[in-house]
Amino acid sequence: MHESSLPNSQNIVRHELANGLMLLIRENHAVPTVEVEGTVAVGSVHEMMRDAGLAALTARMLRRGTKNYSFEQLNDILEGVGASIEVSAGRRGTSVHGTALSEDLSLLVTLLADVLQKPTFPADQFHIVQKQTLAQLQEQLNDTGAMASLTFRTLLYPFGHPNARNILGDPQTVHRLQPLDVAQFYALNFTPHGAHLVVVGDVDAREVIALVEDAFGGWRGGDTTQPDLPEVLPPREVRRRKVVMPDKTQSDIVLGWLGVHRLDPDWMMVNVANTLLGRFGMGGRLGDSVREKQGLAYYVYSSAEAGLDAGPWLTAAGVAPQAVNQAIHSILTEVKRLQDEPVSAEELTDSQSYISGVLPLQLETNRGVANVISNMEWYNLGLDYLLSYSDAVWQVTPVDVQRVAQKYLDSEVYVLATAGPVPPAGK
Amino acid sequence: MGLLQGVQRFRLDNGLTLLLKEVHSAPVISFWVWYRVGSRNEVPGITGISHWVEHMQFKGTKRFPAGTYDRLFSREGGVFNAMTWMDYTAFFETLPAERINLSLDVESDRMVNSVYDPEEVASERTVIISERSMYENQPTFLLGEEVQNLAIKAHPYHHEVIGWLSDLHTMTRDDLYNHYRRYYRPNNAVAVAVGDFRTAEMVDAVKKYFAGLPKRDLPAQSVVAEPAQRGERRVILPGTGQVAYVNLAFHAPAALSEDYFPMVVLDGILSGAKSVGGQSVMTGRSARIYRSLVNSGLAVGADSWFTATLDPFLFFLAATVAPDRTPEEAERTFWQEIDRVQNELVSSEELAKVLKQSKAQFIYSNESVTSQARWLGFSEVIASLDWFDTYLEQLAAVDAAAVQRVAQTYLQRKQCTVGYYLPEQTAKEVADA
Repeated sequence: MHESSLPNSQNIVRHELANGLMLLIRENHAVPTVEVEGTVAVGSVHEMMRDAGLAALTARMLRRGTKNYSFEQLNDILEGVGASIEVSAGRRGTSVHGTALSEDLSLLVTLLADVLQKPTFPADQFHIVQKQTLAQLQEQLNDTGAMASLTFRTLLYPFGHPNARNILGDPQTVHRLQPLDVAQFYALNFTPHGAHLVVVGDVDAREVIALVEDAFGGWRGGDTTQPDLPEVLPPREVRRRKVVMPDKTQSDIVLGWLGVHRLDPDWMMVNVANTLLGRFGMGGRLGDSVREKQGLAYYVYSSAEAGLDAGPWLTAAGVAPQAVNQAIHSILTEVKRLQDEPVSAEELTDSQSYISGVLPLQLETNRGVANVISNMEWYNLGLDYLLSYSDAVWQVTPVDVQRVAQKYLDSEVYVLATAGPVPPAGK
Repeated sequence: MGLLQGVQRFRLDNGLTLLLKEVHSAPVISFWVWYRVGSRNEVPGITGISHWVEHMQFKGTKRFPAGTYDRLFSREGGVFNAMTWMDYTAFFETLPAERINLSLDVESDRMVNSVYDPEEVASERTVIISERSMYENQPTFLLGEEVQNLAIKAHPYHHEVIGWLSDLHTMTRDDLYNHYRRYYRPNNAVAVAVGDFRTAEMVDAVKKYFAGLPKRDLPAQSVVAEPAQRGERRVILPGTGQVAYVNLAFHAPAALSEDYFPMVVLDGILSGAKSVGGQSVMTGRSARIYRSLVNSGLAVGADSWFTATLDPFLFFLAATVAPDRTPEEAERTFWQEIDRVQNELVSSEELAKVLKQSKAQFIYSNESVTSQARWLGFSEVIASLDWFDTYLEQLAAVDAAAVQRVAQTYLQRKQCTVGYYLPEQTAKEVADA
């Protein structure tokens, strides 16, 4: 891809509103659509442990009625033109996504502004959303993959740590929450300060600025603070838990460690090492061993989550109950190999080519571009981040890969959660 | 809408159909090969074979041994995948434009040269069984499979694409290889390229790689026709968890039926319009089912679903029952909505809304070259390019009387299969591993 066509400081318009809201616009006239992605700097880390699930419930309630429009009116107007607005909470931020035909840009911006600035949190809608969340939590309890992931988090992070929590909360806390809790959480935390909006698509940047100034310029709010979270120490011995779910057919495994945050100098090396371990082709080395050679699993992969906080670097697989131990052993064998033996230049090159080469495909849709720009802003990577991205990928050496594998992974001390049935007797 | 604008259709002497569309917005090309084979072409004993053959197509030829494809494509920064459905099996790669010949090379080679090594078959057998096990862990899969099996007795749409577990245990290497040899041939395939190329050059490249493959006669096909359903069918499926689910399935027309487009509009009236492939960026919250089931607190999620198929398949209504409500209440409300759409003409505003939504979904679903190529190939295999080109016009031509007529014709109790998934009890304990 030519450098000039990558989103960068020359073709992204960045405009700060007086209230602190940052607006980023990238025109793309290939398709008559527009995508808006916004982030407000409030998430589940801002809620008390006794209110677990409050940030997620608040995010869902934003869309449920505003001073100017009821939930049903919002639905009628948006869906009448085939558009959508969705809001969801993360750990440090709450995201809004808007999609519309570009002819409906003004409508989309107006409604987004209403949803973010003038929510009314009607009680009847609160009870519906609360019930939906409770049902979703019940569905997770019956889902081996969800149970393995959620259990893994509770083992990786200390008790009471915000990142140990299910972002949806738990049945007890969600049950106790009231409409007033949501209104207070909103009033305390939602502010344009530290927030950004990315607009990508068949739009005119000057028109977008005018629309956003008009719709968001009056938004007032205090400073945001991102809380410091308690320190997380890597495990000193194996932590494991098995969730027994008797009538299930197969078991899900999540095995991992604490990784890095997005601005850690090791991030790119971890990214490359992780690609090699469990992503490249059909699941990297893990895919080769667990799926292709041994036929143990339909899915196996690794993932290095990195946000404002260090996230888990984990491996995951779904296997027959009697194959759980063999799969765990194989995963740990691959981890040890990555630590003990330098990767060949050829294997490293493969993963580097993939990471740098797949970028244009990630930037093919407005949504993909909006996501990349939103990340650049959120993590303060700079608008020219993509121009040097490929170089950064290619600077990673076999020594780097081995070093981060040794630093963050451990084939003897790890966190392991499994969820599934008891294996048949005799196995 | 101009979705066919710029699409050119070619046919090689060996019968390979080729669809090309130049798109120069990014330096990438998506190349697909579609085979007219899927679970529709399967009989008891070899259910799931089309899907397994799709997996085996990644297990190597002499030139590209097992384990080389993923490396080949990934190291170019490409993405690749394959999918098997009732009516088709499709493979694709999306690559930087200057590397697309790699895709043509691989796809033409594995159309005829895959080896089906017995050891690879053995290893993939457990992978496929693991895939089925993963689905079986989901209550909604279990219920969907029961309802589909009950609704369709004779036609091969009876079984899920993944196939029956016992067949996955007993099928042999030769079964797989014979299925492959029977259906993978140029005159049973559609190749599609969308992206940054010159049409004349792409035609030459496709000819270079594919023209030498021999045309071979296709086996005579006879697919059992599903007999008319004479009475309501019901299944109650007990299972794990605390959440109940309800499905209603009705026999529905095929893509080329004159009733297809009125049914698409009916689906849009009930739960919001989707794109050709059934996807949507919306959630249908302003449509009838969401209002009557979810806004009322009966269900925490509810939807209708209808897709284009070669033979008549099913129109589904589905709900996730709210914790304090019952499946019977949800079902009753579905029937009230059916009565309403059968007895009252839908308004012109509702029709106009579905049409505007459909246009928007169409545009969203054709944003990337990969999805443009996908829906071109899908339409050619399931219906025709003309069907795709006139899709929105045909929707626009549907009037309220047509929606009422198809609702009365297809959404009848005696043609319905109802399934409940009922939680037995919460069975969960935590122990040390």
